[in-house]
Amino acid sequence: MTVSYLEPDITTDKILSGIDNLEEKEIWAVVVNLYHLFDVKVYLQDTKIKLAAAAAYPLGCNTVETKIEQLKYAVEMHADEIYFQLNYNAVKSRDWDYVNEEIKRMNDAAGEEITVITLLETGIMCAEEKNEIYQLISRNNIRNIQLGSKMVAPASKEDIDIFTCEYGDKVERIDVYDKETADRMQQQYWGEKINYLYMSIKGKNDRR
Amino acid sequence: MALTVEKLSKMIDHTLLKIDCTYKEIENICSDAINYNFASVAVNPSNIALSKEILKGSSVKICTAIGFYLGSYPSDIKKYEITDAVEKGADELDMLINISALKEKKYDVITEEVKSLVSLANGKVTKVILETCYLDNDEIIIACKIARDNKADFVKTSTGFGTHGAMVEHVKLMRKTVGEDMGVKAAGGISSVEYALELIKAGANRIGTSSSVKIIESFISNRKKTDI
Repeated sequence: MTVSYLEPDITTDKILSGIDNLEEKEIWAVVVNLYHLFDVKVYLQDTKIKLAAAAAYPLGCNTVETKIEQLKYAVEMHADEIYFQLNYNAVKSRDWDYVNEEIKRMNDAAGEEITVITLLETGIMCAEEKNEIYQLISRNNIRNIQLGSKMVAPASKEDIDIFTCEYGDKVERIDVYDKETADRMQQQYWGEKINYLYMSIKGKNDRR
Repeated sequence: MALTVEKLSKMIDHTLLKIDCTYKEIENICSDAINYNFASVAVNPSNIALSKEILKGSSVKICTAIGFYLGSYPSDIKKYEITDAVEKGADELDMLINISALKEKKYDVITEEVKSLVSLANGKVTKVILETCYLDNDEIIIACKIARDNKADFVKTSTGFGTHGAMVEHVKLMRKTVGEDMGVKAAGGISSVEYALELIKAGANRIGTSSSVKIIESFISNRKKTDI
């Protein structure tokens, strides 16, 4: 299980007390915005919990250069993982060269220093776009995926099933923030390959 | 002062920051901005180059978003983003402050962000976004003073992605705090001419909206000339 604290107004104290109060003790990682990395790293240093950052989340429409700069900062702060939002303006414009280049450059920049988790916002993609993205992911040998996110759109159960069945064997980990689906898939076949991602932030549908 | 269509148009940043918009939609807002002579188009950093190409030769400026839309980036990352945006052709920079730092009363962090924005913008228009939906009145006043004292051009209410957008009472408070020599931009949730005019009466002199065309067309059809 991974836990994220990404609220725009969250303070370091609230993140640390949130970590303290977690009922589930088998925590894989904590995800925070770049600003909080240093303090949370210090807090987690004597634990096995990994530190993760969010890059370009949730809009994803920064330039590739800025995303790489964010990744470099996360490496400097000794983060173990970084969640990376694709540029969905490019996806919706079917600019596959751009998307391919972005995926490639982010992963090249990461090297072995940090694990990149690519967010696939299937909730805002049509079937053709999903198919194309899945192929890009596969061609670039991407090993870590998150399907859907709370601030953008949930991934449907069908999308999670389809992706996992077709590509599950090719990836190391699939993060899913819907607990019920994560539990079901863990029990069915996929076990620890499915990582439940708890997102404390409110989604669009929670506040309207 | 009588508000004319021309004046109202030049108060509007025609905005499209959606995660799922297409290049075609960006082209369309640029064309609309030329036709209606808006102050600027507000686009994400990855769309600056495309907008610049379409707006070439027009008086419409390119406004872009820095630190969007959670704001919790270290100053160095925002500095990089500002420099990158200016190099790629942005004329106006709307930077979201680090709300977490403001909540933690780390005012030096906010001060450094604003100083960097103004200095790296190198004469381009700078707007400091407070995201008022997360702030109490004291925090709004402090952030306004930091922006004003460090010579930003505007304070701005919202990103449009928070729990609510621009509110009349916040615009009044911001105008009262920064005085008459600084700009106040209201943004987020402004979809009617009536609300836009209410915010202008409250003290806003720039409006950020994706409903710009509808607002101007309503203004024209009502033949509204408002004394403000």
